Amino acid sequence: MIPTLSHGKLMNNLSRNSRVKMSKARRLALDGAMLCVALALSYLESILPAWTLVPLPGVKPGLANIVTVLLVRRGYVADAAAVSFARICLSAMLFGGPVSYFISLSGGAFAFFALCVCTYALGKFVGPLGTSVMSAAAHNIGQIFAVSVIMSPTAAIAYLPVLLFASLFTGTITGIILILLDRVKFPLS
Amino acid sequence: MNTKIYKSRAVLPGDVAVYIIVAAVAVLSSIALGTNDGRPEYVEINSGGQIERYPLYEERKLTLSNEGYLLTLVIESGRVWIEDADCPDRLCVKTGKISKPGESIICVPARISVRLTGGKDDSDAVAW
Repeated sequence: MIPTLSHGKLMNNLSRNSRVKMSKARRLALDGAMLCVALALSYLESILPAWTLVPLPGVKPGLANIVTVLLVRRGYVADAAAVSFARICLSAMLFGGPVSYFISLSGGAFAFFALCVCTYALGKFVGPLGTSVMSAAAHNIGQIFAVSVIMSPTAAIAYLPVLLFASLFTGTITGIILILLDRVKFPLS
Repeated sequence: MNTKIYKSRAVLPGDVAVYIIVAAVAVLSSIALGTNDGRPEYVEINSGGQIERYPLYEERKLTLSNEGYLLTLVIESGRVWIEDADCPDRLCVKTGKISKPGESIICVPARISVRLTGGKDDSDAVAW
């Protein structure tokens, strides 16, 4: 069995890091470093041929979300939201356009909500695998929601089953990476 | 480096529940959308709110333009696909060929969606 963060340790992280004040410089350095990692992962996803990890058009493995999940699980919830938002804005400027920005933003918001529910409310029962699958599923639902709002709802909803199945695989990939990351002591904490 | 390893199970019971729930929702929504049975009859093209219909079993090549983008749509032997597009991501081209009722091709930058309707497809009646 792979050792990972226990529930007690997770809850300890959540309460300690949200209460104790990090110095501003330290927090800025941490968030900046995390944003760099997230952006690099976004870039990696955009240059990888689509079929590398998931053989479906428009489905990405969601590697950048690893950073967000990691930060939330270590108790840096506000930082996770800030890093996630900044990453979406920057990657839309660099690799996308205004329309894809709204779609990513909606996906990001849904994913973040699911992530917080899984970590805070259900942290005792749901581990990294479940959390990232749920987050990936919520991300896809958020994207379909945005496309439905921008365009016609009937066209976008047809992708729901395929994207939900895809989120099982992509969520598993990021979940396994998260299990491995749980064994690493966090820098700057 | 002081690397502490906390002994715990990597897979919790809730994880299995999440997998089952997501898979169940995927299967149920696929059944509800009825994308697996019946034969579609029409190609419905929604180009920025303007809806046009073409019969599926007539060979045709169309050029769609909206929002400054050009898409080449091909209807051939019951299948529809976007042959070429000048949008940045070209996801509509990568989507490939569609042939089942309710299936669709979406080009978000051009705000064009192509959907197959008719046959057993009742997806307009579904609450969505």
